Amino acid sequence: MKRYLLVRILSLIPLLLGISVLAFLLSNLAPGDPATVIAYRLSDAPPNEEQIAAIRREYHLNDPLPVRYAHWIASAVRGDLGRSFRTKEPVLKELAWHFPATLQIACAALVISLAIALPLGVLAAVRRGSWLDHLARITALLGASLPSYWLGYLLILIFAIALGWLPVAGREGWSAMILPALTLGLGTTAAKLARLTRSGLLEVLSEDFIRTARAKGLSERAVIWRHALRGAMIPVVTITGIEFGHLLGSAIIVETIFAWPGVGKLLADSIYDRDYPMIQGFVLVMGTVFTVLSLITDLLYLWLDPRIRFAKQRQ
Amino acid sequence: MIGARADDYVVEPLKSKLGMYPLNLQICEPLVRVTADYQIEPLLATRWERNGNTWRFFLRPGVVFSTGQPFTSEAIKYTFERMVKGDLPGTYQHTYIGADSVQIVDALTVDITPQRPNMRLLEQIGHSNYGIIAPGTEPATEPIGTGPFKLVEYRRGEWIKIERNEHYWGQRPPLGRLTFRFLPDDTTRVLALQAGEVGMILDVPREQAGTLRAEAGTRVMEAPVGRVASILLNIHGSPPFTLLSEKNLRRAIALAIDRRTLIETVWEGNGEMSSTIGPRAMLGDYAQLVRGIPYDANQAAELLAQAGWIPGTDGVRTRGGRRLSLTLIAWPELASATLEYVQEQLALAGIELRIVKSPDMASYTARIESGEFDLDLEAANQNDANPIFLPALRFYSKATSRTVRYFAPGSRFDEIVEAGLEAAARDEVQRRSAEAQRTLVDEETIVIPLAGLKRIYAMRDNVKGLDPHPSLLNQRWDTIYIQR
Repeated sequence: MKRYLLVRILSLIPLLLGISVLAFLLSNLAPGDPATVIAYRLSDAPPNEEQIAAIRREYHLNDPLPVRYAHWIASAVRGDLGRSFRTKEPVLKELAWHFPATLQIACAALVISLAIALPLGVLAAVRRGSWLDHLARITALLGASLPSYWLGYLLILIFAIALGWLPVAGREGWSAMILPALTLGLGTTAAKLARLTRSGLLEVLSEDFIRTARAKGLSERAVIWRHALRGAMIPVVTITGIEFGHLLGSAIIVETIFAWPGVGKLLADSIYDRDYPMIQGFVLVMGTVFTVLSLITDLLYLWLDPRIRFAKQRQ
Repeated sequence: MIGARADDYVVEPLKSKLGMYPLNLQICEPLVRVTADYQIEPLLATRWERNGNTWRFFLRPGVVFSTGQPFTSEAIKYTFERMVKGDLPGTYQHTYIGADSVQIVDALTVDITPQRPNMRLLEQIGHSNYGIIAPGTEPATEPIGTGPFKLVEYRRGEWIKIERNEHYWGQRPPLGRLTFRFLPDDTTRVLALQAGEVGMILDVPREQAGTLRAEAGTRVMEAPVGRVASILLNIHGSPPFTLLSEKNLRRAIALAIDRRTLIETVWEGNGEMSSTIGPRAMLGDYAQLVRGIPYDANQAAELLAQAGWIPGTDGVRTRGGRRLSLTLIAWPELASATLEYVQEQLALAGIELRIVKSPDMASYTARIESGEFDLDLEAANQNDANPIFLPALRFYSKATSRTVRYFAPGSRFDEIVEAGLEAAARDEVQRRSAEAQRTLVDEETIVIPLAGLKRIYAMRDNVKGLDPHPSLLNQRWDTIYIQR
């Protein structure tokens, strides 16, 4: 088990290195020159050659790409992701300031997704083929199909304008979190988890140990909630971990609509301004979070499924 | 509470313009103010005089900063020197203010001598970038000015709060406190107003103004024209972007676009016909010298036929095997509907228009600087009172801007601009600017003004006192009050 863990952790190194190369190349090869953007922000007029040249020198943008990558990755290994072109603040400080806001709505969105998906999936599996099953599937399909910006505006119209219960935007007070979290949580994540719960449960319900449990005279509720659901949860847990990473990374539209000061909005602004250190730092940090989440998911997987645990031990 | 667009303040020490630019909150005041008709009026300077290239400003007595510190000539020297120290080379190029430009004459008199002769200095320093800050302070941390408001709290990307400056030398604002919330999404800003979360919103999207006008309890106000949406034509392009070196083709394009319908249908009336490339008010009576090219589809077709462009089977004209196909780029903020309208209009004339929509300003600037375009749709702001600002900035061949090379008409135009830059009397500058614009629009057709754009504000009915300024940078917030 320890060996497995060690191998998994060591395998993260080349993965993160690959992510860092991709992050660096993608931001640096996008059309648009950060020096020009910075000059525009400072001067309110089209910049001249001298201004552009001065900025390029100041930000080492004239160095060849491999040299810049080497500098950046060497600093990153020491925990220094550089300074934002836009604010001159350390990238890590900027991310640390914005990340809690995104984490807050991503966690809330995940709770909402699970609260909807699990009962919906169970209901659909238990009442397979009934109108409840069809309704659950249609609801999941709707959730997956609605664009988040449309859903966001719809929720604002209902809860902020028609009912006046919740604020339209901003991050003041706990109530401000509800609409962004709902918008994020009601989307594809809930739909995906509901469908997965349904199919996983249907598969488990057809297995021998379930028949045995029923034969022992256990109530249907006990069979489903105590025995079947645990087995059906294995793929759900895997996807939940991945989906959480997805929620963190896809908050960009929701954060823009709700003026929520999270990392998604920070990334959007950084892309518009070609703030290379910030884009690279974001991708690297989110890549790390994603891979760590994936590792945690795998460990949970081992805990949930004894077959896998024993197989690993035998290896 | 006011809903503003995205937070674009620079907060880097020495370069910071927090509270001044691009959203001016009247925390810091410049020496002079730009009025709604682009005239100059006294602000921190009560009067001024020019001797050769030296401008002497007589400062308003009895003014103190919001901290109580007296306002003297020292503040002008400190502000301008800090500006130059933190400057990128040439940021203040148009004013030619250098490190030694400010000389203190006495506590309330300063001389400013630009490094090169500059007759336009007075009209330029009304821009909020030239707001005066208290000596020894740094706006990146806290902007301290003499304006009617002082900063309370700034939270990046979320809000900036200001309150009445009780030490203000002029009429104190009726509102004790104002919060500007940054709501970058246009629709969210409108929804925030509808929900009563903000009392006013800035930059109402043109296509939503009609809905807000019809809504009970909401008022929509328009500022006079402060910028003009114009198509700039690349006359010095490299292959394949060479077609617009033909003057008749440029003229045919101008004739083929029905601008009135654009304003009335696509923009729902939220625009104004314009023949000039900037606000007409800048040119005074001389604005009538620029006549513009009226819509005339038949004449456009005739011109194209005379130039040998014959309609092909798919409706697109051809000449010698070459299709009449052009590439249009545009500022990302300009709505797709406008671009598509121009595309349709040109299609009717047999001109194929390929639209290259840039997702952000960085990709747009990369494209325009590469010269890979035939037409460029922009809407430049006029934020200072210099009548020849736009012709000198974008079309004067000696201007340092990197895109001038695609649009500069040549030496005769340069002479007009130079005469305008060197003219002492405002009347003369306006005349020269009008002549320059006549060359650009009527004679050479390097610019096709589509329409004058008005800034649109929407507010709750009880929000009163807003006097919309054509330039957001010069918008006053100290007149706003709530009617109980």
